[in-house]
Amino acid sequence: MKKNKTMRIASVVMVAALLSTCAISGTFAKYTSASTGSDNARVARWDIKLNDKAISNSFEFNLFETIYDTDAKTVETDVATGLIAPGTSGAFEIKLASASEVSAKYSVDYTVKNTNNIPVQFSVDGTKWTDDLADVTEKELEMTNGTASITVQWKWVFNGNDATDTELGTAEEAPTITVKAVVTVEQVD
Amino acid sequence: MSRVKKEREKKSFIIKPVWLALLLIAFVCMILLSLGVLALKIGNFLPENTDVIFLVPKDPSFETGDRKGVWETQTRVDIFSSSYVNGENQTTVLSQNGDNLIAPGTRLAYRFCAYNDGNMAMAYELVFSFSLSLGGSPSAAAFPLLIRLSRANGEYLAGNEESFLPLPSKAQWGYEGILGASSYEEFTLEIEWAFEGHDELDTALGIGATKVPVDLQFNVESFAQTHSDPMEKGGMIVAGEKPTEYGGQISWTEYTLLVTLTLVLAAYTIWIA
Repeated sequence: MKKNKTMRIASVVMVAALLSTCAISGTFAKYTSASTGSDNARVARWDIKLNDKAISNSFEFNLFETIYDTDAKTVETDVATGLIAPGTSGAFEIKLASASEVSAKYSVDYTVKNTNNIPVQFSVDGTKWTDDLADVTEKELEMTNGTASITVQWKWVFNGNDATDTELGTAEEAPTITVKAVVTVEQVD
Repeated sequence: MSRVKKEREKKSFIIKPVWLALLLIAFVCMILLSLGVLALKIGNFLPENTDVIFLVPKDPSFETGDRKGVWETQTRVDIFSSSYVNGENQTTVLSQNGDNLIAPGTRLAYRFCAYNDGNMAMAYELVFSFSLSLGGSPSAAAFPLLIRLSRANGEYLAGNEESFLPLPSKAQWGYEGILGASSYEEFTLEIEWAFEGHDELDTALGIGATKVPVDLQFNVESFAQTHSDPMEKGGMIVAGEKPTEYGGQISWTEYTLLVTLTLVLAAYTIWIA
């Protein structure tokens, strides 16, 4: 019994001594460390619609798509399709809608080509009529639910200058007028 | 001589060498530890650049983190935001569902810190990269991301005061440095999606995002290992810390236990003898 007890004590002491040496040797091992910090983000949406159709950033259209009678409401039937004459009028609406996640601005650049000086007048508010269209420059278009609307009206006054009207109507080569509108939408920094 | 006495003498003749061997082992371990403690104390008074061999454990340490806490193997940090304002304090980017966003013109800054709490110098490396996915699938599409990295003292490590460094998709940019014992380094990482110069790409990405999510994951990885020269300096010393007392620490509990066991062994040996 005494012998076993002695050997047990001896074993404990030996283990304790060995553990101490292990503790020393272990801490000489090379220390390395690695960690990572990361984060995600989604690209913000660019969602612009012009007259309910998606556009990238610019769109060009013809103002004379719809030609009305003198009352500016009824579609003209006394004049051949695609032609204008004294008394005809028309309107075109530019509707912008933004569902983007960034703020934007829009511009409308009008180009009126009227080499024969056809007496067509334009208005964006229905009261002030001019021979030309003033460009719209950098108007704000709010993000998420931003909207903007421009209605461009035109008319050839029926009781204007009869001599001029007649001359244009009887010209050998029919005079033409073209109006283009380029709508540009850009993100705001 | 009685028979019992003869047997006792015989046992002592066999057991005594075993005890002596155990006593010798314990004594050698105690001497080694004592030398280590002595070297540790002496080393603090030696001139700089003196080569010192330490027999005691060193205590290296390196952590990276930000104000929210220490990074682990993969830690989510707050680099991006769900909204951004411009220089006129107008909100120009706003998430519709609370997701973090990135858009042309967004510029953000993220501050983090590398910290050496140990008693020897650490060599470390920071690696920056990002990955793009379209609709959940990895994409190698180009992305006009720029980065700039600077220290707390204003020194630029990537980019400079006037320009950022382009970081191509699937590429990495790394910075290597040294942190001395009980030192730290603060970094400011700036990320920018350039507003000008990539209109077509920017528009394509923005329109694409209306169809499928276009996600960007930005990673900052840090790697560190013990420096070959434990006395190397680097970073800013933590305020209030004493100059380096490196060379490790003694576990006084273990040391006391070992001394006690050695004395017990000696007593047994003498008793048996």
